[in-house]
Amino acid sequence: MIVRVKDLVKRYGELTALDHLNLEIKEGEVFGLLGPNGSGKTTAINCILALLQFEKGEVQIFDQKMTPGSYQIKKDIGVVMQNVAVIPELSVYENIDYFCGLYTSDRATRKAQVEAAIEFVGLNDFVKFRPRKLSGGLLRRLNIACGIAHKPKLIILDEPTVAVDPQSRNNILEGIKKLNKDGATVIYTSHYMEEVELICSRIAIMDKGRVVAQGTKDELKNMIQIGEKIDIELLDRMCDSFEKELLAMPFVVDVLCDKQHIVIKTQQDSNGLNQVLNYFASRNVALGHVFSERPTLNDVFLEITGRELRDGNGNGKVE
Amino acid sequence: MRVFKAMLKVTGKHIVELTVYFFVFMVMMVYMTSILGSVEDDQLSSFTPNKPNVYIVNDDKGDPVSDGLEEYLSENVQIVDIKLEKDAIADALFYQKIEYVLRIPTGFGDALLNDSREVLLEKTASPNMTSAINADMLVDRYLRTVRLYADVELKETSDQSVREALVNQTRINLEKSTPLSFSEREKKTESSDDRMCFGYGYLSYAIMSILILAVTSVTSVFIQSEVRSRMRCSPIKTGNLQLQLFLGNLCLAVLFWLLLNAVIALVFQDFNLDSLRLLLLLNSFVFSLVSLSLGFLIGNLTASRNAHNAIANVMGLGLSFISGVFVPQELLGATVLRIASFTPTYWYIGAIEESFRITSETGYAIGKLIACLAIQLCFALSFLALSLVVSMQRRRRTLASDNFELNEA
Repeated sequence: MIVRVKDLVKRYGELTALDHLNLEIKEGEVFGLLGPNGSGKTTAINCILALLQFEKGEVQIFDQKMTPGSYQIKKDIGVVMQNVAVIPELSVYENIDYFCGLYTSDRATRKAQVEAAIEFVGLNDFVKFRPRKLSGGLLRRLNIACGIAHKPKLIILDEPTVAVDPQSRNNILEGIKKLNKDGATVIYTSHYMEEVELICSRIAIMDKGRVVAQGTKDELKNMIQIGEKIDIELLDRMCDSFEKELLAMPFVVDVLCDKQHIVIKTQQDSNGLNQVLNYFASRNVALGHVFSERPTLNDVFLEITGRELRDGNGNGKVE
Repeated sequence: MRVFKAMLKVTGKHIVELTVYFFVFMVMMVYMTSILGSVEDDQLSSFTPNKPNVYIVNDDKGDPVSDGLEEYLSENVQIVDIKLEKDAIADALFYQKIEYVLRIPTGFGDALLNDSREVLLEKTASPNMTSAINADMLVDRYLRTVRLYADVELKETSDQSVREALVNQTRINLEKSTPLSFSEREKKTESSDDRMCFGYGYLSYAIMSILILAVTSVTSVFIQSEVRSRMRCSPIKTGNLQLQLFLGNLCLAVLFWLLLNAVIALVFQDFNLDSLRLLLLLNSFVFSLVSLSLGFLIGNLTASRNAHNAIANVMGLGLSFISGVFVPQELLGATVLRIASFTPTYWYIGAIEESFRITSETGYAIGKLIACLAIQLCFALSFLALSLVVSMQRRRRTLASDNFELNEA
């Protein structure tokens, strides 16, 4: 086991930030931590890195207890903080060289590592630039290069794609996949469910300092009642007239109506799409667009907690 | 030594800014010390007494004593030789066209020689004019000398010829003066010591301003919460990290201390390392440590470059003004000095003065100098302790940012 978090409790005064958190991250995984703001993701990361003291529990990395003085363990960890941590006065090359130098003392090895990191994040044309001359996306890439240049076994990325353009985001995600392919274990937190679904082999959904669900994305989606979401546009009718009949069907979990637009959530393995299409055909309803999709992690979170990951109604910022 | 090297690199990136500051301070110092030197040289070689404008009304004409006073004054002051009415005299005094009015009443000569207080001189001086005091002193000097001769040498003073002899004797006495000459060597030494005293005093302004700027610009980079957290994730031990930061800052302080003292030596063309120079070097080094720790504290308090510039200027200039860098401490008010005594610059200036006293006066105790240096070191330690406290508070605040996020949620 690369990381083992046992029964971790962290309190800020009256507030419990981590409530008996348990995590196990295996070698070679890309492990995603998902949850709304305030769910305790960053606190968990800080506790794992021994940046924060906690009231109870234990963190083990590489089967050794992690403490602020575990410098041997820290040698093999790469950290990419949520906020860009670079030195404004130094150039791109000097920044990567500096942070890499905190881990690698041999000059020749470090030079090779720095050059590889620059190549990896695609900053070859910007090596002499100062950070303030870089765009948001390039700055994030520099931040990543500073965190991974020393070829760590464990890489912790705390929301590395915040405020990054789609092209840079794709580059970063591809890079993380490559790092994992090269043998690094990755812990990844993000605001974006799609990213987590795309790159993480296992995901832990956090809420109020606890892991409310954990597993692969398919395992998580199988945990809930909804198996399929069918999104239909009605061309000549209002959907209200069908709502009660649809809800009465045994395989239908929920129906959401909005004028001529209807979303029907069906049970797992119910072959709902066929049955719904047959239902509208039998009533001669002309259909426009029809979409069918598997439930998202947002649906998983919604069903488990009764709240949406992305809602902003007092349960956390949009996430 | 990665952190140490990075600190030097960061300092290197600020080299233009720091060099500009350095040269500005040095040019100012050279200019100010040269002005100080030229003024002093002139003053020492060409002393001329000040002659106030005096208006005399002699109502006791014909009396040798009174006439003698008028004559004596006319040789030593500028007599205003026009007839003025009472109101015109008051106006002239108000507008400082005349600074002193002396009226010698009828019978004053007799009264003086008889030691009678019945007839007295009427004197009016322009307020707040030191030259009027000078005129008053001349009158007083004449009268005292006349009285002295009258008491000691002459029994009978009513005879006109006797009085004339008495006045002549008085005049001969008053014309006597002690010749005074400055030897070239003394003159040069005194002048250059004063300039050096000013130069080393001014050094405190330069040291404090430059070091605050240099140390804050480097420290603030490494105390940014993101960079600090990132470094705490690395395998560099916290103690090692602090030590490297301290060494980096110390190197900066030593570098600027050396450069500034080298410029001082060049300016004064004095490369002797006698006991005075060694004491001044020691004092400026201790003050560099104070400025270093103050810069470290400010760097920990805020990361804003504008704030650093403002604080460096305010601290450097403000403390110099109240501590006697530009104006000697003897000329500063007691309240100002009491306030200044809570600042390190005051004790730095004190140590300079003590250094000059120790090396110029025999048997002078070194205790005061040691006290001045020790107090400066106490300031350095206090600033350092404060910056460690601020640093710890900042760390706690950084770690509590999650708390904020949770509260927001």
